[in-house]
Amino acid sequence: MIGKNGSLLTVEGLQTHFFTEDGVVRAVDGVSLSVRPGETLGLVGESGCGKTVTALSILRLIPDPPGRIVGGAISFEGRDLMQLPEEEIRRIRGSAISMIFQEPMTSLNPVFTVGEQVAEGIRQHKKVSKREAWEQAIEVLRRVKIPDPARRAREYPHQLSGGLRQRVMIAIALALGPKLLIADEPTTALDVTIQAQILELLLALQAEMKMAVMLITHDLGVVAETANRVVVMYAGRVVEEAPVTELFDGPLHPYTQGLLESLPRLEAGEGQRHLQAIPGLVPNLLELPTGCKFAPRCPRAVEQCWPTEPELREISPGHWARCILAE
Amino acid sequence: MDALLTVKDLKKYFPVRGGIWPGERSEVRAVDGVSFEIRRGETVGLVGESGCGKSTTARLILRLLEPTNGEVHFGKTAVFLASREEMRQLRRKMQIVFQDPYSSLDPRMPVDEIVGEGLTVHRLAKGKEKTERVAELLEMVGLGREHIGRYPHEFSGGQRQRIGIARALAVGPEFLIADEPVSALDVSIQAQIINLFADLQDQLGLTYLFIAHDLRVVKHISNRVAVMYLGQIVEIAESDELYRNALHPYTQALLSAIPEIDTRSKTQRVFLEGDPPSPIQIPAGCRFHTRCPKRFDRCDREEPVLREVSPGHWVSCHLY
Repeated sequence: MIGKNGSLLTVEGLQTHFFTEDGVVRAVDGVSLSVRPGETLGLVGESGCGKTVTALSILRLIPDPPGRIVGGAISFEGRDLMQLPEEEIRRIRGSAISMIFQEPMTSLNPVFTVGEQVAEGIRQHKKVSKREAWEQAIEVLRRVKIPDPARRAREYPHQLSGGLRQRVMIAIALALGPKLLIADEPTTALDVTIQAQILELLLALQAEMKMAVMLITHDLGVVAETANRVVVMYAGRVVEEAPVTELFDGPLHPYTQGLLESLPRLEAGEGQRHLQAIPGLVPNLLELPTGCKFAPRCPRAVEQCWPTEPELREISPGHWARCILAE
Repeated sequence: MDALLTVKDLKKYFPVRGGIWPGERSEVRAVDGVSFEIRRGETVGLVGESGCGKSTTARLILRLLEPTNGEVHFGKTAVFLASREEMRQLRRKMQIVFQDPYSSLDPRMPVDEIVGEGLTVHRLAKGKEKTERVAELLEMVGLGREHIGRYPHEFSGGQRQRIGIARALAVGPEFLIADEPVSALDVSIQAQIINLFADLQDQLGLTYLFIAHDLRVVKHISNRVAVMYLGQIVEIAESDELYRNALHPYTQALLSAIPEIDTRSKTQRVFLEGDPPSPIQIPAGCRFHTRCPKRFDRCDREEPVLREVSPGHWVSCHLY
């Protein structure tokens, strides 16, 4: 079943706020995005921009208190996830939508073997015997290219390298053939050669399983290589959305432009000592300006940027930007 | 050329207890025969994956660790033979900036004490003069005198890294080791800090050893780059030469593993199999042969040595 305009997942006007002693932190404040079946959506932004909170909101994993989804709608395969009873959402988590996290060491249980942990997930959702679950677990471990899976299944997380642990996490996430995988910085803790292996594996499995992926990352290179479409977030908002090639060839929002320009380039020769840095600091969510949230750091800001926040506008088909100057 | 720092056959083995039999000992060969030099005013980048020995090398150079073997010369001083007094002098000239700006600053100390501590320890300034000097240092790294008296938690990650840099500069060093100084920072802030390092080098004539796992950053800032694998340097060259003409299969794999921003120019990726071996059980022969896509029969028997294959370009591989 597919929701409106062919999307698998639609998030509309999502607002997730945290009620802290210092005030209300509007971590996600009006985020809309959609994921189509089989595609990879890249969700990019710096720390605190709300990308992880968006993902956790989709799975209704926001710790309450202090957090709460205060507005918006999330629909998956046409069903409203916000209205589902807890039991139903638990059934969806791990089976139809699953998630992998940045740090595989802390997301695995140290006192169970990795085979047990994969099998456990299978038994939560499917009526199979322990033995069948174990056999399926080994098969999943083989699918994520863990060498000698029958032996590895009996090992504990600490006996595995970081790369293998992340493969186990992927195995757990994919064991039930989800339609959507949310991967939150899945390679950030890994070395670059291992990162390349894991991304390659994710892309291969995605094609094989015809699964959609929402890839959350701060690494623009990772996005450029894996995503079909990209959503850029800043201060709890979407500031730009575009097909991947368009975003990198013609970024419209000054923040996206700044991010791309601030990266050192490998192909650049010597001579340019300075990078184009974005001035200022990553914004404090408790002290956001009323108008455009990026205005204080924006090199192109004009008077009209300050009084009211610009709308996210479709500048060309499929390319959206939240900037009054974009055309 | 005028070498400011010379590292010769540096080794550091850490003993580990292990094995089945009581008393059985083995060792982690974290740094296993590293040699290179850094010229005055130059930036040398040191890259490699976690556990390759980059940070241990840095700590040995500063004699924060005692070596198992090898020599380090700073100017004319043999670092490992230096007396207490000579070491005190050396510590003024060689400073380090750490990766994590959150854990490397004492949370109970206000910024001026953090930055000014070295001035007191080395009796360089006190009282009003010290306050003035601290204010100057803060301005030099892009902070202001209004930050005096504030505590680390009041600053963002990028600002804390600026404080760490100001602290390192306080005693007037000639040589600065930056150990992953930007890897904990957001992309937009990384560029600011990299620019700061470049400006300070121009202003103060500093010499850098810049350690990072991000090859883009290292390429940008370094004149020469050394690539480490399992405790050894496998390739070293001028940074442009290394990126244009990488010779060692490990360097080639590292370079090709960097995700490309340009979505059209996909270069052929060299995938490495498996994980780096443990530095407790270093493979015989070339230590990279277990993962090398170009290995041949010589590689698991004979250990290659670092040789100069074209002027200034050194590689440790049987292919050359």
